[in-house]
Amino acid sequence: MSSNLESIYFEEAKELIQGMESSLLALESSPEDKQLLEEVFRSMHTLKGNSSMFGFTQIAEFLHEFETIYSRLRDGALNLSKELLDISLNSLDHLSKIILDPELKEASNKQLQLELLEKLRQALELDSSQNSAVGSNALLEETGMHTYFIQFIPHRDILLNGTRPLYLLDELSELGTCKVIPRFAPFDSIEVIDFTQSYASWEILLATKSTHNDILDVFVFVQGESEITVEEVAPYNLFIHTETEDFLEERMALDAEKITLKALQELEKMLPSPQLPAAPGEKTQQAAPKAIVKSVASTVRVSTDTLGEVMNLLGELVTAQAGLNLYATENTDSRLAMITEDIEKISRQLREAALSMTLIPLDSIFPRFQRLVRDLSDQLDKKVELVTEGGDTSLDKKIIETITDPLMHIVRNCLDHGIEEKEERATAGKPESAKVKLSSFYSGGAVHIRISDDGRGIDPEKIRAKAIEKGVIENDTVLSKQETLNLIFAAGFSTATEVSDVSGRGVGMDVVRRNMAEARGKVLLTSDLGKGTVVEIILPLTLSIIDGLLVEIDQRSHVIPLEQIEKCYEVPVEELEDNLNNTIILNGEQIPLVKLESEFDIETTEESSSKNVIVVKNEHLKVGLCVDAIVGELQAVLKPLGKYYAQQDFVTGATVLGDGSVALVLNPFKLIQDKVQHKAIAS
Amino acid sequence: MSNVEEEITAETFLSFVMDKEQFAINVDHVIEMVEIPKVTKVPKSPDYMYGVINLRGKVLPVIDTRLKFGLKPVALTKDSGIIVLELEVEGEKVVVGALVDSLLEVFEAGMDELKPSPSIDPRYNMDFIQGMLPHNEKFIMLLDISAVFSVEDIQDLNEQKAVKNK
Repeated sequence: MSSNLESIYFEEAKELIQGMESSLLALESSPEDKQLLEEVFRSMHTLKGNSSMFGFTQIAEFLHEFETIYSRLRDGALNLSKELLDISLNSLDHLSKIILDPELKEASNKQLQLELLEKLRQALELDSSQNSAVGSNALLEETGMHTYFIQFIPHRDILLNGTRPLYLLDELSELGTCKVIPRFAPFDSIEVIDFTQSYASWEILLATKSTHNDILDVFVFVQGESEITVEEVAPYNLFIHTETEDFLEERMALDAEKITLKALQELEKMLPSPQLPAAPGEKTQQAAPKAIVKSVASTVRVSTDTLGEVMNLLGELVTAQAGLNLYATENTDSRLAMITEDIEKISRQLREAALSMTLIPLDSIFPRFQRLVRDLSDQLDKKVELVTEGGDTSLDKKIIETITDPLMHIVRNCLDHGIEEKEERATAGKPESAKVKLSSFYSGGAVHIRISDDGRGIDPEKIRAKAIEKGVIENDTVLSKQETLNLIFAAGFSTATEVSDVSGRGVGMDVVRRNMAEARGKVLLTSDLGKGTVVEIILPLTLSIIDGLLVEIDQRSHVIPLEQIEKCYEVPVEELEDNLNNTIILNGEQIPLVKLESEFDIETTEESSSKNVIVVKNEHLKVGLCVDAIVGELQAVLKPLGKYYAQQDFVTGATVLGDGSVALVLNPFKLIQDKVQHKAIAS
Repeated sequence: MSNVEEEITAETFLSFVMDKEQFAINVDHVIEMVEIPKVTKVPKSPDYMYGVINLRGKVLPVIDTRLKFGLKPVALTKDSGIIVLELEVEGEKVVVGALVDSLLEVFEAGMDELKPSPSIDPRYNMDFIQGMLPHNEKFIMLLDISAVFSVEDIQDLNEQKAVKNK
């Protein structure tokens, strides 16, 4: 099997597992939701089918066991207990591991598989002993069932193309109650058997809600290589009569007469047909296909490479567009100007549409948080409810990948430190169940993700004491409440008095902030003592296009990201020279000054009476960057400089300007960081 | 029979000039040759990192091959050009431009004709030379592309430079 197909299998499997996980978590709060159960079951079934198609028998086997339980749950013969849910979630974790290791080469995977299989079987046995009576009742009650007689005679060479007839029978048995009788073609002696050939055929009696076509669908891949007949015997479940079983038993012997449709029909006539209420039967028939329609979304799978290529081409289009605009303004041709404007409009829309394709909704990671909160609250013996909001907010896939771990860390912190013990909540008069809210929304071209809790909040006094103890601040440093809270983000700061299993993995909030900064995101923290804490993350929609300010240093173009700029000033040259400590006073504030021309070893040839100072700001620093001229704002398509310039990390990338030249996109804080470190070393 | 064998071992090379000396590289790595457009220097990078250019909307790093070899810099002429190469660096495909004085020709030669360099006091960094290829009664130096354009080497030099700056 080609690796391309395997990667499709893998991608789909991942999606199915994710889907099952979110459905299961939803089931926990609304166990009565049959549709959710149906979804889980269907996903399992698809995954099982896919796995056997690829010959991943271990996975298929595991899923089979798993599926059995869910088919019982679906029939109402089993109740979804918390234990069962635990096993199921663990099984999903296991599945997401073994789709990477389908042959269970890793000993730990094998071990776990055995343990889980055992647990699944136990759950089933436990239940069947308790509920056997209920089970048979359920069988009787079922409406809309039909009984079919199926003959499946594969051609002899069916095994040669990798088809396994037994899987098909297996799949068939999922459709309902099923009795399979194998037959063997006669052969003279054991010596003449060709092991690559199939000598078997099957006669099957199936009672199911599925339609004639559903049954044929099972055989869709082997239609050309076998004879298949599907005929209806009775418009109800023939297995409710014990005579049916008896009849089949009789015919099961190797040399017994073959079962024919005629024989079955005669049997059916002999038996009394049950009085079925027709209307509900109709209803169930209709409900099932409706659910299927809903789950089939009209989507197309596109590889990320293709998307990347589209984004690249769009970047080139934007560049070409800028060139055209330039040409149109240089030439006073009103028609040209009109056409240019039209094309600009279209290319902007095109870019927005393409951009939306690369964005994925936060929904896709929310189930992981549900899971985290569920497992962790158990472990910590706290009662926590996670509320998610705004899952349709979309972000660049790369950003989502970068922020998932830091976000998980924040939620972990929140549960570990933020939420009080049960007793403490009771004394504070708070409801027993704590609430953690994960919400996201758009605001001004950025995405906000907010994690809030109703826990104990952060005590600034404790933070201060800790910071002094850790040497992060001096004893007499005066800080506002907000500044004190922000100390949490300082390197080497961790409030947990002892390293706990949960949040103290040697990772502090400083790492969270750094990771977020990688995705050009900001982290804000507010907290009310006794009332709760809010962590807010502000992220750009995409990493590939940035809003920047185009500046010139000796006629060389550079781009500074707008989000880092606080203000721009025009300053006379005299004020910039004769400056011993390289600072400048702007608006009554003393700001350190960095002259980009000397920083970049550029000798300015330009003579002018004034220069521009761009004040950039991050949470720690405010610095004035001195440049020759400000050209204006632009949307820059960011292109990486590649490995050869990996060391020049103060350059985020480059962008191609309208005139075809390349401008460097700067990250002023990396530049300053180097200077600050130099200073530290020098002193 | 011997004819066939010759065809199998013959490979194609591109020759170019730097400091009046002829060099060659295997064309397998060559994507195209372009004239020198406007170049954007990246501050604080080693001298031999010539800068970045716009290659049809893509940003291409260019290496000043002369300086990389330890030769003196020379003003660009109308003959100067950039050879665009695709290399595999640390398992990743990297596209890079090599600035050369002038381009010469494409020729074929057998790798079995490659001779070691007899030089004992070379003007060039001999680590970058894979050997000498005979062509038109002359010997042309065959470059070891992976050595010349290795990223590791560049990063090391960058670090050294950074340390020196401090």
